Amino acid sequence: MIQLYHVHKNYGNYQALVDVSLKVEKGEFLYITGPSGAGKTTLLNIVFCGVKADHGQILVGGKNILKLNDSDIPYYRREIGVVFQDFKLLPRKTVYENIAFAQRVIGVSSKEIKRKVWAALKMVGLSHKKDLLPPRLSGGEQQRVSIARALINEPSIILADEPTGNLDYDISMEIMKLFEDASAKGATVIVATHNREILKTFPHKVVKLNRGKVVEE
Amino acid sequence: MNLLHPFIYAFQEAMTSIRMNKGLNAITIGTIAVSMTLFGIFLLTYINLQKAATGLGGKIKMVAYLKDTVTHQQAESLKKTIASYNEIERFSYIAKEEALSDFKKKLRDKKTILDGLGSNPLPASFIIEVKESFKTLSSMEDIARRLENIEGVEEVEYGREWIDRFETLMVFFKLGMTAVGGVLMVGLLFIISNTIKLSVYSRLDEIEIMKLVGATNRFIKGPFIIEGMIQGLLGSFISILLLTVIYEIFMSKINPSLMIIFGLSDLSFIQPKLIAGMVISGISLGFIGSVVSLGRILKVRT
Ligand SMILES: Nc1ncnc2c1ncn2[C@@H]1O[C@H](COP(=O)(O)OP(=O)(O)O)[C@@H](O)[C@H]1O
Ligand SMILES: [Mg+2]
Repeated sequence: MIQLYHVHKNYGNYQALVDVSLKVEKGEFLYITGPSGAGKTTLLNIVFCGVKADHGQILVGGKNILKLNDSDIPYYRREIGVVFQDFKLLPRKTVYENIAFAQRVIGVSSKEIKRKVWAALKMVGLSHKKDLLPPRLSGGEQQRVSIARALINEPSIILADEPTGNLDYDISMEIMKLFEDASAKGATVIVATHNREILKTFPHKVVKLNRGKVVEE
Repeated sequence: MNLLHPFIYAFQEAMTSIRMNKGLNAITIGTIAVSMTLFGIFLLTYINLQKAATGLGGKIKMVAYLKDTVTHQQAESLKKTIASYNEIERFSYIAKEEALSDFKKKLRDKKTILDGLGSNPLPASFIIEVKESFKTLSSMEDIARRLENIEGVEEVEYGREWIDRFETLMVFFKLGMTAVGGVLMVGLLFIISNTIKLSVYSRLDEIEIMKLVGATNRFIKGPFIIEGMIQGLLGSFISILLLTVIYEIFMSKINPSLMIIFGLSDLSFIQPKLIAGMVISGISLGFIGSVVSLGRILKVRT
């Protein structure tokens, strides 16, 4: 599903990724670990087409994403759900509107949005909080909203960048459970994390990065 | 999916944005209105001067004096030659005797001073009116030169100096107007693009999420472009209103006899074509201003 061949990425003189090659099968669940600054975020961003690799090849679903035009990228991204450590919710929009907004801006009709948002809210167990503003929610709840937003289109790929970074153990496990469910339904999931407890509780294939290099697989 | 949906969405978002930044938008729209009004005053002055000029120009005649040796027969063939000029609207022939009797009429009771003259000193002439489009200095000059070269024509006179001066004035006016218009346009583009930029900055968090979920650039830009276009549209509407008010005040204050001197029955006010032009320029300014400010902000990948 996702293949990287000898990918390099420099920021100025700084080598953020050095000769990274890896392969993720369809429906597979992969962890990317490594200390802060190892290049985890950069790697996810390259798959997401947020940054462009300097060298190498990246195939996603058979497509060479380095060859995508800027105008193709939005459509490519609709196939990918992304989740971040800091949730990236709009503080002045309600839970419902936050999820609906992400649908509206890709041109989904209001009727369709209503149906899908309800289903997504139900999936993450937040139907009763749909009218609250994000700052009124706990961190775990906010992350569940952002996951609802990421999963609403049933993406074939899910990229999560330290999704439990700010959360307690119990809450982290709840969040990881949502990714497990999505994976069980056939999505390809990549989670960047340096939380060892997660790796132990939900063991999957692990790629370890250090200073931009793959050090362990 | 409804084809109109993205447009309706963009329009709603633009209105929300304007409502959120009311003060800034009001200032921008006001600046557009005042600038366009200033330019409109220039333009209307120019149009009316030009109209006055054609009014006065209509009175400028070209007179070709004939040599005394020209016979009636020769005069007849000259008539044919002059009639063949397609720059000439109409002309009339004044024979020597006619010129003298006209002159006597003008002198009235003093006409006895002419009694001592043995012969008629006045030449025969053609009084020529040139077509509107040829009433420029260069074509009048050209026509006069060609007429002077005709056998039997002594001299050609026309309001050379007057045309010269007026043309110079209008050239300066046009230059001034272009300069003022250019400066105002650049200023307006700058102001509009800055307002839109602030509008973009106040919604950067939304834009970030729009990019994450795969909104197209067009979808992201749409509301801001429409916001700029609405500013331009409202600005031009207000300036048309302001110009109307200024025109009414001017007309009520102006001395009617001044108008008659200029040969104007009334001043030209903004015609539908001009109104359309102002509205279109307003909208275009808004469009260009916002597109300029959106250029780099919405880069897809680094
Ligand atoms: N936009 C950028 N410009 C310059 N350096 C960057 C940029 N993004 C990341 N880096 C650097 O690249 C390295 C890898 O960053 P990142 O991929 O965020 O690592 P991680 O997510 O594993 O903490 C870091 O040293 C970081 O400072
Ligand atoms: Mg990171």
